[in-house]
Amino acid sequence: MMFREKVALTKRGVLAFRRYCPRYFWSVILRVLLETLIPYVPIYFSAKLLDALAAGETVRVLALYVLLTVGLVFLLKLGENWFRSSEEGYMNDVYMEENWVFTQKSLSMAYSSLEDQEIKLNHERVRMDNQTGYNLYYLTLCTERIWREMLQILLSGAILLSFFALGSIPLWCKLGLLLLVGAKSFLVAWKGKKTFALNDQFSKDTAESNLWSDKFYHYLSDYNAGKEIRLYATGDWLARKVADREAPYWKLYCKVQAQSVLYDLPLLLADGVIKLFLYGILLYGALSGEVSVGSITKYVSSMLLLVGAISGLGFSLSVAEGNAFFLKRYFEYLDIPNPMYKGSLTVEKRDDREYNVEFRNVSFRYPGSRDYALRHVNLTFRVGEKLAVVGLNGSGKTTFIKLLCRLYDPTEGEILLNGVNIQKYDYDEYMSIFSVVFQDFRLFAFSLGQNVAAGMAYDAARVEESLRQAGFGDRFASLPKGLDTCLYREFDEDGVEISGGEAQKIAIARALYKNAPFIVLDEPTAALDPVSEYEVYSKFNEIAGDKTAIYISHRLASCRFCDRILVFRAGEIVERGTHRELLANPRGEYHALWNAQAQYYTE
Amino acid sequence: MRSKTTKKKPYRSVWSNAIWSFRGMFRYAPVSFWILAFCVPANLLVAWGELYLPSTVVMAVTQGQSLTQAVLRVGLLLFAILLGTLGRDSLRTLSHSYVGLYRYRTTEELNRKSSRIFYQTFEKPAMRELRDRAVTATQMWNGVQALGDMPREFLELVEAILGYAFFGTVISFASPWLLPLLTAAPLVNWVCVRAYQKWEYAVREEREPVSHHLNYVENEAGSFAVAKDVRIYSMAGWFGELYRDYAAQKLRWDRRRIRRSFASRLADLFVILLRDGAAYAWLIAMTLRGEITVDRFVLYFTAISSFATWVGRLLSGWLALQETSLKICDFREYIDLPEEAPAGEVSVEPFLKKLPDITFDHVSFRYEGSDRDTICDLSFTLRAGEKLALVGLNGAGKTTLVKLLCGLYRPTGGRILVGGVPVERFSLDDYYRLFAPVFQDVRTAFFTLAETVSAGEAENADLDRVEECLRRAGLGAKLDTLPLGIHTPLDKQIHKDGTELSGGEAQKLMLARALYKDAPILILDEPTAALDPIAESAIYGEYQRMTAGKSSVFISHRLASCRFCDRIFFMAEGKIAEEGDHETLMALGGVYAELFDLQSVWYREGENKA
Repeated sequence: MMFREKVALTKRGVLAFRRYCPRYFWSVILRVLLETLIPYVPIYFSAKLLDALAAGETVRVLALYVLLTVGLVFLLKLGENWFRSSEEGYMNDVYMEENWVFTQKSLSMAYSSLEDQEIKLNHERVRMDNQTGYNLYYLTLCTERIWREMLQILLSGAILLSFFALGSIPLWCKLGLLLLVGAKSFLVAWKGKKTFALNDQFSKDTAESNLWSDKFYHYLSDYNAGKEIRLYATGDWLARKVADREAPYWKLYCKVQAQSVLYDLPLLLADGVIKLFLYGILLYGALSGEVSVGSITKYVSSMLLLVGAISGLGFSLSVAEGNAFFLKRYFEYLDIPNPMYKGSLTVEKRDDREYNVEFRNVSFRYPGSRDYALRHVNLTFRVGEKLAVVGLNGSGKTTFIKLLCRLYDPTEGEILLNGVNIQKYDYDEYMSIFSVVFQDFRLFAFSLGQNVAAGMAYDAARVEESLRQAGFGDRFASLPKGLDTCLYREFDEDGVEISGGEAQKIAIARALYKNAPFIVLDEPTAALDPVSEYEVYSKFNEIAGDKTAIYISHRLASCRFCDRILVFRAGEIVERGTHRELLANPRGEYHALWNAQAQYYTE
Repeated sequence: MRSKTTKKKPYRSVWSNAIWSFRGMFRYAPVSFWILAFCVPANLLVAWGELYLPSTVVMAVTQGQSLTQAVLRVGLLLFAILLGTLGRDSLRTLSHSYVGLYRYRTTEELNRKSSRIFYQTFEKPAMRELRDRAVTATQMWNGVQALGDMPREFLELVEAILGYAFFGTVISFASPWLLPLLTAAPLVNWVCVRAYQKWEYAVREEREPVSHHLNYVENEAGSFAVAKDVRIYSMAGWFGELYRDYAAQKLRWDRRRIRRSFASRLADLFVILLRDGAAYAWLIAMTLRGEITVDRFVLYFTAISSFATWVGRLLSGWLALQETSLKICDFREYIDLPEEAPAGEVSVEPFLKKLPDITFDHVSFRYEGSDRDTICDLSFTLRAGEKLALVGLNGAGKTTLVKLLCGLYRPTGGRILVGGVPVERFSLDDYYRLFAPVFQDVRTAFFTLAETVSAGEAENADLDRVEECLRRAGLGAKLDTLPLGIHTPLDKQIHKDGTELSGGEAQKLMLARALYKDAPILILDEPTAALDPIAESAIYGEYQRMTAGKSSVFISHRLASCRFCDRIFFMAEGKIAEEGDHETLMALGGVYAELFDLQSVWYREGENKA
């Protein structure tokens, strides 16, 4: 990465930091300013006090200096502490906001991007980077440090100016001192350059290994995995695997640290030489009478702060430089464009549900895959029909639904709504005509009402009606807090734990509440026992009402109450028709599927 | 979230934990002890040098020493400081890496432990919490880690005591009763800070739910698993509103905290103001009265202003030690848990060769905190080589029964006998060898296919058999598409050439693992839920071959699958409600027959009409 790019990234990062929580940002800036000033007060006034004391000044003069020192320090600390307190208070807000920006990205990204392996991996990486402290944490650290170090160089420089004006100090001494400080700065830069490669390798390697350990940790901390770990006796193997995995990083870390110690040696020695040299000059000056007792400490302390700031700056800059690598992928992730949001047409709201959707020669390949997941699909949905979609695992059923709901756009061909390509519609508008209960639907630990409405505000009567229709009525009646009942006990002691079947019913209620003209049910009975399964089947027509309904299931029994059945094989619709028509073809795919299942139920 | 009002006694005392962690350090990373120990004199050397340096300079100038003499004295102190700094900085840096070694050794110990605790104990929520806390103790947070910190903090406390004594002695030369005064002053600050911490702790229960909610919203909304629902139901707005709502609540808390925290800091500022003012006045008065020289003035003042640091380090060091000690308690409590794997008086070896009968003798089981038995007074015998089916509605106790059978749970009443031997007489590790289960919740970690199937036998695995088992489980077609074959890793993210399995494929992989284990008893819990009809039918077809020469237990909602079993248990409310083979149960006309009809009604009508 070019230096200029790193600077640009860091700048963008700092601006983002300021935007995430301005209160915190300005608090840090002001706190560091005051904090940096504090030691300079005694440096400056103690010198005066000491000189006055040595010169035998009056008590009034002495008292004035004491008052100034103590009072100024007090005031500065007062301010510093106020900002420090507010920083503590607001600190988490920055990370919270950083997280939220990251979260919002997943909410607003095109769905196809979310399933892209590369993007998924980057998402995980950035998440881990953030957790480790790259990006924002290091930025706050660097901003704070660089700001302080620059102030220190400025303030110390100002105090040391008067040193260089001293007449009794020979010119070569002054030049020598400057030379030493210059040499030290050079050493700092040299160290940074020498150690950067290994440090960088280490941070990148650990970032990759964190990805691994995170997954591993999740596997091990999942108590359910404990069953197989015991029964398949994998415990020792797993523990060894983690340890083996960590060992090289530890070794590398040792190397990084040893290297740091080694390169620090000349720096520390340089500090020692500078100090000794400075003391020597000042003692010479003092003994010859021009430099006062107090000034010695003043100059030395300022110089120490200056020299320290130079080393510190070297470190801060190398941290910033290392962080730029992580910032790059952070911003690259946040900058992923969303091609789905180009359309602008609105979808007309119609009471007669006359929404005609048509697949016209649609083919689809997943990004990065060479094989077609769907091939030449032609289909017109009839308004209000009940459609079953069947086929083997991996035959393209779910892909078909994803295209219908515009989670993906077709690779070839087009999908039309009332004769217009669906890409021309506003994305959210188009989404409004679908209700889908996915196989892996999710409910949240909020109130039942909010879960059904998928929003904070809802029409209570309609929510209740939807729950009843979905078959959740009995359980609902038994809930004392009604729609305000929290799902799960995550946050609320009075929350309710719900079974898989009940969750499914709530998810169906959510689909009904949306009241969209299309309703899609993806494998809704896989986890249900025969009684619950029967309930869903027999209520299917009631649930679907006058909506266009699409039903995906491996339980072919469900095809029985559908008007039309689509049979998918290897991405193509190979058969379509009613149950009876399809079963009449003994060589057909449907016939084979049906019999594979029905043979066990028919004598 | 959970009330923590009842304060329980720490598992071990600070002293015990200190000794324990020093021992651990000696065992795993002895070098790090010496590194840490040498930091103490190095630090004190620096402190000594920095205390005397300013006054030495002043003395040199005010006494008009010769330049050589002055430079020599100052140089000597500078050298001491340099030496101390050098030692301190290098040792501190090196200690990080050595403590790292200690850290990953403890992580290994913890992981090993997790796999050895009796599952029934391990599964309890309280135990999961303890485990999480133990993990926290081994984790590195901002460069610190509880287990490695204990020795360091302990030595730092020793250092603080020595520093306190040294600076205290210097100050007593100025005036002996400055010492108690200066010691007491930081205590005022301490009291205020404690009061603030107490307040913070007291309101934590009100405050924390807000943070938990915030985290929950952020994590749930950001998870890719909800992405489809989020888009279809336009949930972004809902999540946004929730986030803003909780963020606003949090802000209100933050403001309160800021005011409180600032107020608690004020005391310290006033103490410093008074202390420095008084010290100046006192020392100036002494100087003016001619009791001390100017260089002494500098020495005493330097000592007084840095004395508070030592007092502070004493206090905070002690507090930190206690806090760390609590984390170590978590770790030790977890590591000390009994493993409940008795030595085993009887070996399972004979039963691996000759199938045993397994008998449940009036077995009952009740989950902790529950008011009724999940399994009540169950008696039956799984005969050697028998194929048993377990059916019943959700919640009938099927999964619990399987866990009891596998040795993951122990009955609360009655006993289980294998080949006539009570289960308790086997060692658990040994007992597990009898079973090859496929659990309902499929988890495929991210190892290679071969590692997963051979369950970590790694280089000792019989690769031909691995492949054979994968093919028998129905993964042959998939296997042929993989260039790396059985060495393909199961994760596309970490391994570029990895693969990701669909739900159905993962289920088949778990089956392959069970086949590879080749244990006397095969247990299949809903193995076909995610499979299409053809694959399902293929598994049924393979079932006879899979179970040849074994006993087996098959659990399924698909009642059709029961037809290959010798005997079916229809379970209801923890009991066997009906028992017999398919024909018998159908003839019986009970609940089983009813359910079978319910499930087959669609298929049969279809047949008739077609």
